[in-house]
Amino acid sequence: MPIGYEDITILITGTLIAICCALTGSLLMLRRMALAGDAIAHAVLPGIVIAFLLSGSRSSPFMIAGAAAIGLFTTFSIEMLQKKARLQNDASIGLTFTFLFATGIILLSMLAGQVDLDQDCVLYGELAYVPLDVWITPSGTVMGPRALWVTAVLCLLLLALIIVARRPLLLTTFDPAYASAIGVSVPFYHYLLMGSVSVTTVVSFELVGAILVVALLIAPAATAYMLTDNFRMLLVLACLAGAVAVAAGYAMAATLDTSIAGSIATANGLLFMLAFIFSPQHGLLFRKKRKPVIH
Amino acid sequence: MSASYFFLLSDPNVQYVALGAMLLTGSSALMGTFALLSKKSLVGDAIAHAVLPGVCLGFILAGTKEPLWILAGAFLTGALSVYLIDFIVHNSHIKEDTAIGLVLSVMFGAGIVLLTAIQKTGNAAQSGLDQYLFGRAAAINRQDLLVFGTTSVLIMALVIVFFRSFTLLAFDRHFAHALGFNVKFIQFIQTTLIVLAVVIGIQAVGVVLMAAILITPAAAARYWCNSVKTMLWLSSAFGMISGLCGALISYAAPAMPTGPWIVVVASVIAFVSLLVAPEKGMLSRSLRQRRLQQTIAQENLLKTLYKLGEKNEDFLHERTAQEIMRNLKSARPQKLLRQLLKQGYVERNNNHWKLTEAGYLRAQRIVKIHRLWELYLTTYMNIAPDHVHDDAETIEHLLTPELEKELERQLGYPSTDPHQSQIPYRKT
Amino acid sequence: MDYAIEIHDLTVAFDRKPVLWNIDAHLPAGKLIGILGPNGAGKSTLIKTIMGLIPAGSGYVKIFGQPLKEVRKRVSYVPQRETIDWDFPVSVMDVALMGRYAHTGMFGKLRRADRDIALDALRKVGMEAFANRQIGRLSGGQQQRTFLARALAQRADLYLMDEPFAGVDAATEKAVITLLREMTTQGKTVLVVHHNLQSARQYFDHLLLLNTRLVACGPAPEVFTPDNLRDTYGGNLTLLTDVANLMHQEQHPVRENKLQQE
Ligand SMILES: Nc1ncnc2c1ncn2[C@@H]1O[C@H](COP(=O)(O)OP(=O)(O)O)[C@@H](O)[C@H]1O
Ligand SMILES: [Mg+2]
Repeated sequence: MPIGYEDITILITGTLIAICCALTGSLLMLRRMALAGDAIAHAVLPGIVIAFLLSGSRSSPFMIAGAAAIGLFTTFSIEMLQKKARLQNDASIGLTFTFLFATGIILLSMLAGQVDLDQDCVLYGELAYVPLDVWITPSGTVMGPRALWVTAVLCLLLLALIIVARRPLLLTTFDPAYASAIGVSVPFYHYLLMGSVSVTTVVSFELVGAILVVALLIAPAATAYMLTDNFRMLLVLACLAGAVAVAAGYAMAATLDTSIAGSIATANGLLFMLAFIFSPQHGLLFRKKRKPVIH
Repeated sequence: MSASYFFLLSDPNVQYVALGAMLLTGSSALMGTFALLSKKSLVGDAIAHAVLPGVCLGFILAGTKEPLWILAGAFLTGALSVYLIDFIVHNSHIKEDTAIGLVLSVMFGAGIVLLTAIQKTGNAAQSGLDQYLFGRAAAINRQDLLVFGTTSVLIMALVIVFFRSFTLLAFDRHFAHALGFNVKFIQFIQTTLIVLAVVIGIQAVGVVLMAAILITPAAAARYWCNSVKTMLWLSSAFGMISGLCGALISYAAPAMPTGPWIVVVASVIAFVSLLVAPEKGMLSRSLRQRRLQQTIAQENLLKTLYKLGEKNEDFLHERTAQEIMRNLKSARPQKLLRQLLKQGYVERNNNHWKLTEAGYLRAQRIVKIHRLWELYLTTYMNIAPDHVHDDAETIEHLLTPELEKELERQLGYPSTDPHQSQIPYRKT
Repeated sequence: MDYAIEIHDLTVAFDRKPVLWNIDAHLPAGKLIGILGPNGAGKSTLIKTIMGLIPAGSGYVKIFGQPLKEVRKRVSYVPQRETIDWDFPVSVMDVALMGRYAHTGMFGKLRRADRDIALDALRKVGMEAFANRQIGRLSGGQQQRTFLARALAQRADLYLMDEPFAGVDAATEKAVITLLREMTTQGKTVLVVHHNLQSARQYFDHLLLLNTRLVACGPAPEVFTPDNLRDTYGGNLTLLTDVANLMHQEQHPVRENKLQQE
């Protein structure tokens, strides 16, 4: 099968998304907040639909800001449900995101025809259409696929953030008590991370759909976690695992003529399985008998 | 609900749908209670997503949308997800939340792959398979009703049989083990039933939002009661109401997916519950704080009147409002005085106020507890006499008569506090 | 006398249930100080409140005569080992370097000198050879020493350590105590939560006996009496427990004017 311009565009965009997700997802995993990431990935839907309706375009800065606000709102309301309403943690997460996602789907059905966004897009994304949506500047210059630009910018921003703030991010994740003891604001980095997750999710959402965002957030991080004990290496390997899964999934989708998003999620799962079994350090095959777990 | 919805209910088709949806959501919510109590509600989310590949496999094997095949496929992959999560957590350093998210998204992705593949085969029977994503209550027919109804009844029956075991398991599994319960077996049955509940629940709500029907009605019920039994009833009632509303809405507006409406209705019930439920609701809790604040302010005023009388032993003497205010830090003494007047603790004579007998006794008790507590802190807790006042200021409003007696007994009915003030006892 | 820590009328409550009542204590500088008390006595809570990690219901703490904010860099904290995720992908050296963050700031450059200080700290606790080891692949004693090295690398004047000897072998415990002693001779103050009564007597200059309330605080020989120990370990004051439970149940404020606060 020859690889054309379109395939390359899709692959590059997909890889960029995978990198964004892997970076934020690794931190979520280490903070044991993987499911908060899952929740945000679902909860941004109503924000996307409303912003879509108001701005009439995709990937506008307006929309990214709006949906990121909803992401932070989700984080905040999960915390409030726990603190003020004293709901247990898992139920707070479940209640919040199912409600917001359901609202989003209902809005979609009500606005069917008014917005260029439907249930299929929500679930599967539209990675295949990336090459078609071209960014043309007001002066008429054709700049290439819009999504490619957006994801590239986001990717650079996230990389910069993680490089600049690597120390406080690591410290507030690893030992928040020590971090706040030496004067680092733990809540600030918490919301900074959740904000980044929200923006990442919003940008990825349209392209790969709600569930694949979750797969890209969590699976590459988990794969890398099986392979290394080093924080920096973990981030690198997670990006790598995400990128490989995108390529493999895309090839699989083309071969089987099926959903790209679904195939990428499946490829992610297969990669994890390989790491889970064959990892030299933690793999099932090489693992020393674990110390008995004391409950 | 408008009159047209009631009109709808006389249509037999609508009756199937309504009854079906209620059975499905009601029995799912029933098992959801146990999922919630054992802090497993998000495992429920994973099961729900993991059901999708099973639905597709069931269809591929049967070649049609045969409910039994689809149920069986769904059940298998749903149960597989629970097993996988467990296996990953126990055989690696990966934590449970990551394992759940991983299994959930990957299995759902695999489901989407299968679903898309099936849709592209052009098999006419596949149309409508994607309704499993967001619920297909409106498509429930007689045959479906039979299968799902039987399953629901089975779930309910098993919940009744295993009620005590499940409750104990959720509450304290170690204790259950010590009592000689076969914890593993009960856990197995419970997991099986949760998977079964998810599998039939998705008919109404769809896989994507299924977690809500496990979590949300149970979470709402939690605010209204303190017993598992009541919680089960309420939870399944809330589930049924959501199911009914969702089915009717989707029937009235066929373009609307059922699942999201069921979820929204259930969520609204939950939000209302957490706001207004007596005792545990947010409003009632903040109301109680307000009332507490008021009582404290009132009691402080009574105490001021009492202390003004201590010098000359003229406790029931009239005082001007100005005199009271000079001795009391309060933003609104007039309002407090009026409240106390209504309750009969003070009397008014123009600008003069005095304690009634009841007010005197209440004030005396507060002063007594204050001084006893100061003494308690210095004797039993080695706290310096000049550091005990603030603490006593709050404890004086709190103690129950039993604790008051216990305090007196432990201190041996002393006559003075650490600052040599008299401790007033009620004359008998 | 110079005080490293002054605790004034400190009450701490979780969900309105006090776990520390009216603690008043002055802890001298330059001493090795032990906090003793049964499980659930509030030892960790006391340390966390001193570090500003838990808000006080009433009262306040001063460190070297100043509020914590002013002296953060001079204070180091070793958390209880249960709170650490030992699977976390960081190495022994990474942890030790964190001690330098207090000085370099979160964005400042880590210089050669900072690395040397961290390495020196590791050497002092005998963990130099394990610098690149992931923290989960260490024994309990080694793990504890790693966190001790982080505290040392911070070069603080006051060290707060929550059960540093839990899960630690006897040899390590001896070595660490010697090290801590040495530090106090250089004028550092070390506060250690400890649970072994036998060794407490020899280890510490100064003792703070705690069981929800302060039982005694003073030079070890004066405080370490059978009476005080009985008061500390001989069960709770039932009335106090009842009152605490009632406060939780009624959501009664710890102080009248704190009603609106969480
Ligand atoms: N985050 C918390 N929420 C509620 N209660 C807590 C919390 N942390 C500690 N407690 C309670 O406070 C008491 C003191 O705990 P802690 O300070 O850890 O005791 P110690 O360290 O002396 O063993 C215990 O009864 C414990 O249950
Ligand atoms: Mg402790």
